[in-house]
Amino acid sequence: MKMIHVQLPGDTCALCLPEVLAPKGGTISAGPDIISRLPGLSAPSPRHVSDFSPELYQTIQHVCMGKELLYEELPWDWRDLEPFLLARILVLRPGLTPTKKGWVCRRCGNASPRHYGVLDCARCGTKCSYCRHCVNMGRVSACSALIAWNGPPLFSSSPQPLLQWNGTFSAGQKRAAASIVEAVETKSERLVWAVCGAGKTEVLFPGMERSLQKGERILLAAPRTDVVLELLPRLQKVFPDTAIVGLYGGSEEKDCLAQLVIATTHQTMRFSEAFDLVIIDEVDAFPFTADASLVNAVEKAARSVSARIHLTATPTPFLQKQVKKKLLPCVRIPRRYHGFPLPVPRMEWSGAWKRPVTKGRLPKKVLRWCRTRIEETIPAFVFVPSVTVLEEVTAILQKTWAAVEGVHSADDQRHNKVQRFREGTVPLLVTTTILERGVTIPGVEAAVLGAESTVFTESALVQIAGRVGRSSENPDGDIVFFHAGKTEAMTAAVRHILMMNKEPLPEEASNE
Amino acid sequence: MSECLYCAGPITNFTTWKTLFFPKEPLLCDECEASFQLITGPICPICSRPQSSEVSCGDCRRWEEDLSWSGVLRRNYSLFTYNDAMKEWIASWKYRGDAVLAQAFQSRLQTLYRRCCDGAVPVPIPLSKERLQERGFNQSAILASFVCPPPRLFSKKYTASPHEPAFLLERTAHEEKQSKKSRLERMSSSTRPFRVLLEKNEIEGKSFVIIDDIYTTGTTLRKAAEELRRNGAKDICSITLARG
Ligand SMILES: [Zn+2]
Ligand SMILES: [Zn+2]
Ligand SMILES: [Zn+2]
Ligand SMILES: [Zn+2]
Repeated sequence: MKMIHVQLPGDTCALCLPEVLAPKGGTISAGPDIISRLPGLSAPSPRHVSDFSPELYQTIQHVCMGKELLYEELPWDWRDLEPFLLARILVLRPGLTPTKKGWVCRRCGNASPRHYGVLDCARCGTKCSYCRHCVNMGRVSACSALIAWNGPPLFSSSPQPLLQWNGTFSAGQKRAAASIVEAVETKSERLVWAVCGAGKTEVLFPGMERSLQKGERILLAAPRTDVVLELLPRLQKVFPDTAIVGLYGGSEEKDCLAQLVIATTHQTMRFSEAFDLVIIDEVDAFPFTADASLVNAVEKAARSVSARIHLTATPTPFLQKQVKKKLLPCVRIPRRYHGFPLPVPRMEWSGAWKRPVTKGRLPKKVLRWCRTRIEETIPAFVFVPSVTVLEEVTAILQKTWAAVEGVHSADDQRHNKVQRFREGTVPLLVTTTILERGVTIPGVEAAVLGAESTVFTESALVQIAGRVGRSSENPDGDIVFFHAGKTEAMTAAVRHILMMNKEPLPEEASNE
Repeated sequence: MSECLYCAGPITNFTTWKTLFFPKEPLLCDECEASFQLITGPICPICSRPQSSEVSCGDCRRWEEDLSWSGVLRRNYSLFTYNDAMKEWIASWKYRGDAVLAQAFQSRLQTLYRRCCDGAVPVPIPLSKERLQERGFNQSAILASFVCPPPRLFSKKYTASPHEPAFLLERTAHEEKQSKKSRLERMSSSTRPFRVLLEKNEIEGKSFVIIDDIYTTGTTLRKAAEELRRNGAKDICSITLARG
């Protein structure tokens, strides 16, 4: 489909429309051409036209607001969309924009030439480039238009209380919560540096309530599906009257327009200029630092004036530097919610383990550790460095305890196995680093096999330690790093935890 | 180090032997490569279905016993079995629309063509206009474009390749799901989903190879072959990427 720029009589700026909708009496100022070759257009304001059906208006608003979708993703054809395009309630933007080196994708931000492909495109009849990086969400090519809502917003403000939660805050939590409310009011940024189990999620409640009362939209971006699945019911419980949706790969409610969206960072790509409050849970989590386009996606999903909260247990050196330079306001919650210190990992030398494991044997110490946990029915994680090791170790343990399971990020059975682990039917779960964050299982203990491996960075090890003893009944569980040689990351992780445990806040000292 | 065309993982399988025999870099990593299953061993001599013996499979026997279909499609050649990995791959390529993925199998298709149907004119299975607009490309046309030999710089002989894919056919009706129909309905020759676009004299006496992505029941390929035969084609076989 080729596009044109048309100036309607009595209008001040041009409109982008598909060729088939060329209106009578309009002056064509550019095109017809594929949309990425047309010149840029200034940001339009909607015109006051009201000759469309209210039902269609509402559905289109639901589907399109705060997102940029491909024509192919919409259930309507150009004729249905025509009145909305003419009224500039919907606007068309090129999916790809040319750069010196190639293209940049509007949806995912990909600008690397090797992540583009070319096809003989039947839609535009040219050799058409397309973004391979986000092709799974529908192909964005040089001839694709992204369709965005440009009409009025959906939610109205109401001063009524929305939060139904009667928990109490520690002094540290209270300060953090107040600081987040302030960020919501002033549309500014905060780094919330909290220890695992410090009740980070609760700390968000007052700020979220404030934002919802103002009729704003909130995005809570989490690193992985399992975290989204855990947060969703918790938030639905405390905000029972708010429309909340969880978006993750494979989730069904793709088109739902909720006021509070909990999404994996990957799913935020669909959104554009949509959220007034963006909360990034655990900024340093794996896909976040690895993929710059996800950072872009979250950036794009936020409105240009919006509040942003970064929640983390282990800020990256970059963020720490930003804080030191006073560029990023930071609030710390060093104590765990129930007031107990984080368990300090033990380090146990377990000798060379790779060869024995391939031959079907676990190091004695590791086996003994697993046996004790299973016999005393203490739920336990065994973290391993790779999927291959995971399969081997799981097989070895299953020989004695058939109910043991192994789980990794590409495992289809993952949610099911984690669920059964939570319920207690799986006594011990062997896992790669995927479960290290955001999953809370009361009374759990953890061991790391091959802690010297490079995948176990300082932050990963601190997070693993944070899994352990996360309930007030069982605050100090065992966490052990089985290794074949101490690494800097291991000692740094222990130092990090000791430091977090030691540091009492002046307020806490006086208030409690 | 290069990146796997399919999973974007690193390609480390750059052994000296491979470099020696296939001077082009591999496009897929070892794991992806290993997940696809090339058809080897005993197969049906007509449709290439992997099986335990070398005699025609039951389906093919039924096609050949039916006088109106006997010999219409001399033979089908397929590269891969339609296993889970291939299903997933075809979904990414065809339905999610990552058109360049097909390059991973280009040289294998070319080799298969040269070995089995060299000289035959490649004919892609067409899509209906609606489907083509919706998908943006015809997957069979991509595969057909791969089988013609690349132009050689120093050989005059190949400058005008006789093997350019020929868009000889068009759909007369919008595609329906084959699986919704019964076997009898499929085999009945009453429905004719394709129409030939060229004059009879341009088809008469020539050999053709119909190209498609999957051989499932063989109905689509035979219906296409039937149109070519009606117009005097000498020999018709087919190549598909996968044998379902
Ligand atoms: Zn993209
Ligand atoms: Zn195009
Ligand atoms: Zn691969
Ligand atoms: Zn057969």
